[in-house]
Amino acid sequence: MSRTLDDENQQTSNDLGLARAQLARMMRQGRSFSGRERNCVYLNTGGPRFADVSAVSGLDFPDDARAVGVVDWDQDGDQDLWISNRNAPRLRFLRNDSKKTGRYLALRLVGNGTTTNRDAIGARVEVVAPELSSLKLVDTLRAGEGFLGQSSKWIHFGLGTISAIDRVVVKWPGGEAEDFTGLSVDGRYELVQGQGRGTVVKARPDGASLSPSEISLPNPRAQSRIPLVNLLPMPNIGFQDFQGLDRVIRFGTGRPVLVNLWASWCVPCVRELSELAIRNGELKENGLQVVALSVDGLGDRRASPKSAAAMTARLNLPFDAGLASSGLLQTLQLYHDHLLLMTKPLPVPTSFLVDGSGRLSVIYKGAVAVDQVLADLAHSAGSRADREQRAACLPGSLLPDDGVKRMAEVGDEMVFFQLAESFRANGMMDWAGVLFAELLSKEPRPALAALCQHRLATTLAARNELETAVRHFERAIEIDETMGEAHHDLGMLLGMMDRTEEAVGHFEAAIAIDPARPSVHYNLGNLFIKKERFEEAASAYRQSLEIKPNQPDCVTNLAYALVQLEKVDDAIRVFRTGIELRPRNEDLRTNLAGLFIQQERMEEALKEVNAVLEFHPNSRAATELKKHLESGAASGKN
Amino acid sequence: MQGKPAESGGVLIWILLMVVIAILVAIAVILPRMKEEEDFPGVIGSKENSTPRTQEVEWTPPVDDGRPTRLFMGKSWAEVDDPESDGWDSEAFHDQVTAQLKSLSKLFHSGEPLSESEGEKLVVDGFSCGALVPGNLEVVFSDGTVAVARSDGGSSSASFAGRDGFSGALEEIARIFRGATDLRVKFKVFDIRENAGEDAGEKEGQGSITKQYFSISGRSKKSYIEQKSTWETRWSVSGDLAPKLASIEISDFEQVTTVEGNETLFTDCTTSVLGKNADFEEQFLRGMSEWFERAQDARYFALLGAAGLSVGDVNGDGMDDVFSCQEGGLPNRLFLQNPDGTATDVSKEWGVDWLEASRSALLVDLDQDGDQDLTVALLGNVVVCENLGDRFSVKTVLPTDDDTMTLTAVDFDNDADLDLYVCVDYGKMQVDSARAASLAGGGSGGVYHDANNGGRNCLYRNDLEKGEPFRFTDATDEVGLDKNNRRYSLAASWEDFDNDGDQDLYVGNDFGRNNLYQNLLAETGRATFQDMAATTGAEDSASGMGVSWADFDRDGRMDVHVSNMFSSAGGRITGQKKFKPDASEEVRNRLRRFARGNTLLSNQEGGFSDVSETAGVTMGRWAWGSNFVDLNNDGWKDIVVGNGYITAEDTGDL
Repeated sequence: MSRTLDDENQQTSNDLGLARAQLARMMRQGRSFSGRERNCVYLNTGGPRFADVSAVSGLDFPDDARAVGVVDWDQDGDQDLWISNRNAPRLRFLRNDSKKTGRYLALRLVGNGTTTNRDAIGARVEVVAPELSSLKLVDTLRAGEGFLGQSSKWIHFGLGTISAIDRVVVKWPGGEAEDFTGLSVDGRYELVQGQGRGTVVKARPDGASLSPSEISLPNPRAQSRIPLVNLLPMPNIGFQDFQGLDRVIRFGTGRPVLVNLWASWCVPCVRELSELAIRNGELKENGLQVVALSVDGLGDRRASPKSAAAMTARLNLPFDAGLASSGLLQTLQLYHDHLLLMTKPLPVPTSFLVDGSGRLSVIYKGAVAVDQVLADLAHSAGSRADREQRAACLPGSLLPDDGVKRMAEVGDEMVFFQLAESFRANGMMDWAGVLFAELLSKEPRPALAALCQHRLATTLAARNELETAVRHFERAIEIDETMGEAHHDLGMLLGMMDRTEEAVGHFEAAIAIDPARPSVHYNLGNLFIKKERFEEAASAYRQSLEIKPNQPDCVTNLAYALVQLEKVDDAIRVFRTGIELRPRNEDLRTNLAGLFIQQERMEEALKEVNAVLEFHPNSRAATELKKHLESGAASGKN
Repeated sequence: MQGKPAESGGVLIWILLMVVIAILVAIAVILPRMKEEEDFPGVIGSKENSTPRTQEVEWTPPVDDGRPTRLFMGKSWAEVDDPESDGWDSEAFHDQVTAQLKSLSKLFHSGEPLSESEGEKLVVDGFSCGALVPGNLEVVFSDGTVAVARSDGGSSSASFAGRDGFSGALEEIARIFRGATDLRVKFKVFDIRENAGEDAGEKEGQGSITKQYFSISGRSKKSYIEQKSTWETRWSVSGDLAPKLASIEISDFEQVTTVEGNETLFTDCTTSVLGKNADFEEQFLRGMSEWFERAQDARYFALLGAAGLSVGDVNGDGMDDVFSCQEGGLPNRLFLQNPDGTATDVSKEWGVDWLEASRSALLVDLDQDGDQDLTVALLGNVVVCENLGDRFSVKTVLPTDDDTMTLTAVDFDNDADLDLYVCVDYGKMQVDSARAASLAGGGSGGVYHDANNGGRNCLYRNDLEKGEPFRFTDATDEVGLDKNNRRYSLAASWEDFDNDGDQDLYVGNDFGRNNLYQNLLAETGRATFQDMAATTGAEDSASGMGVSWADFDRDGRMDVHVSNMFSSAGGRITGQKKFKPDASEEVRNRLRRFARGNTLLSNQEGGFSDVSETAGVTMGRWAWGSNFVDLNNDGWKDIVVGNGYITAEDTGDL
């Protein structure tokens, strides 16, 4: 493969990551993507071109179909279909009601179990009939095909107008061929290996009595009660009460808390709050604390905190109440989005039930009845299996297998880790750090422990706790010394802390682990530049460019280092090579122009400046340089 | 005016500044959003800043229908994906053209003639076109159930000019479908050439050409009719007005009609078969999108909503039954068929109503005792159960990479027992550090058109011949299936493609080349495999999602059909000059190929020949399960394509 393609591959791989992440985000927000497409059916006309009979077939449902299973379900001599879907209905049975079909032959194969598997999977069957002339009629018995599907083990031949079958040749897997005779058209037969004759299998005596049916889908449910399998710790959250005081809800004090989001204009909210208020005595007896937070005024022009205060007074709420902030909403939304696949915005009312140890236990979207909340207080108490069964959409059982359980536990660790990652990505470093530390205290598998140490270190560095950050980076490396990412980031951090030699050591370790990452060489070069070690900087930049030549920043920095080493011609050559790859890049040309000016090569400088202005007429740097060049030329004339 | 030396110094400083900026950028990468920690409202023990953040929060107007009202935060997808703003002019043009074509569709729906004002909005004065329904239709196929008529492509004499002509041309289609029920009209724009006239050096430079598939179908009193054709339309663009039609040329016209009566070939009898089961409505009449809003995703990456199904005679009563795999939190279902064709859910009694996310299943006899055992691919494990006559009993759980897909059974070594092969899309998502580093749904770091860093497909050999039922050994590496084995595989199917008596394997891969592993058992006496996809012309480098074999051309050699993505948007975008302008032509072609759609490879003497386009089977949309089925018992295998990626409430489909 050519060099260009390799380079392109690198680039594509990044694009692919970004594109996929973007796509996943959009779809999780509820975007359709190649949805509402209708199944297609192509009829083989015996010629080179199939006919598109999608609509006439009656199979063209917009279901997001997945697996197709082919079977003569009703045993009437034609092929019916089962199709599984993503959309409702999740499963369809489609009966073949074609008015006129050709003749058929249905065969069930039985292998001998000694030279052939009993199911005779892999057997090749050929129908031999004089009327076929040169056309073949062959099929193979397969287990699993299409996508996620398995069809019936009956081999079904359409015979068209053929009136008589000479014989059927079965090539059993392994190669032995056997002739079967005594077969008539429109018949169902069992072919047992070694018997040479088919045995008639009668269709069911009464026939199936199925009727066509329109499917009417139920309305989606307005309320969702979401008991959680994974119990994730919640950070204390602050709010402002109606007296304007800053308050904090502290979780994990032994008392469960129900955080209720509501709005004064939302009728179900008010109804729900009234019930909570009326039955507050019972809630208290069960140890439950309610905090009602209004979203009034958050971006809504008609409602304001005042309406919330008035409604609160009217309802005479016997529990804590106040105003939610958008930051608080963001946190709750983050938990929701982390735990559910569809990340649609939270509705009002929404309630979060947090258990006595501060772990989120149940999310209610839409109003919830007090009795339900009381019953759910016990949800977080049970085992993981209990919770999984309670959280299931419909009742079912769990596999009692250790391997399956282990996979579930691994999944749990990742749910926790990724929650922490979400906070980190949102810049909420304190809480991200707490979560990483808590996960580490659960002693996860080493691969994850190293990741946790690394991530904890980045949160610490972000909080400017540099010494502690260094220690955690080092721990990550202790657990997994091949973690190039940790070496690199520690190198960056030590560089910032002016511990240059150590920093260089870690960069070099990162390079030893994966020499092909251009950014590591580049950042090492930047470290050397900062320390005015230009030879080493130039060498690092050159290595980076060797891996990935198309990096304007790296080109610029290399040229800068070379200028410092008084290798001006080399610097110009470097710029030229860079510009060849990116002829329209603004920075490369303006910097080269700057260099020319320094060398008093004004004409060449002007050429570069003009080239920039051609593609970027508004370039500030180029405009400044041009002004300077023109005034210089003017003063030169004087 | 400053002196020269100072100026030069200034420029140097400016260069230095560049370096510093570059360093800062690099630091920002590892220390994301250092400053933003103050925004976090919920730091333990600290109080929240009482000033609300500046982020816009808004919600839809309050309506009290008893349903919760939705708050909205952050950027919507519509903002993220707006062709007006992202620089894809051709996509913005596509949106305008689509709007015009939609008003055409509406005309067919209304059955009304074109009004003068509508005509003015849609077509230019000098409009011209030939017949939209060719006069020289010839019936090329009839089986007594459906008739297929095509035009030989020769131009028809009818010619229409001006707005009246346009109206007359439309009427040719409209009169066929006037009064029809189940009417469906669809345009799919797959190619755009903006300012095509300019390229051709014509004077009128403002014309742009689009190509679109046109389909219309409906049930008239006498017949169910569908028409397909390709429209090449020239658009006149002036100013900010919507583009207007200047001409239409049609090709590839095909009309399919039912011969007797107006009924479709298939009838939905789902409710009749399953409707009596207690959980039918709750489990099968609610789509996955609804569950994804209502239940915790304790695993990952299940947005796809891909649940397999398996047909087999579980209780040995001579009637086929069906096993339905289900997503996590929904129990798997086993439906046993009753003599009247209905089916009863026995998943609980048979011990298979597991809540663990299940992808695909197989009903095959693994212990050679004459009944159908059950194998289910969970995420990260394959569960093998013995059929005990009235229930299934878990015998072994085989570890695999995480994101299991299609499961197949085969006797690859001809030792008279069935072995298992499982495809895996993504690998160890949960452990792999690179992947863990990205957030849920994040990237995987692969090369789109030629990836080999996905999950590991696995061949489990059945060791029954050693007298140990339900003992399986991972034989992937020892038989050579470890080559090219991490290409994000979604589907596989076994077939003796070279007719030498052993089972070969075709694997469909999502991000690039497919595999055709030739079994060398017949040649060498040992069941080992060699990937022959490249040398046999079977690579089909696209998004392989389903694989089926059949001898569709009846020459005695098994041909293979691969379902891929057909994307009209992909066709439009990859056809533009600005699509990846820096990439090599090879890469551009590879990426373009990804949008073409399904592939039919005809097995011929000396290799496979891609006949997809002449066969006219590429346009199967975003295709998954695609199977060969002889729908009309004429001996020629037809193709059923299940498709559609993710349908949600919005209408932003490509």
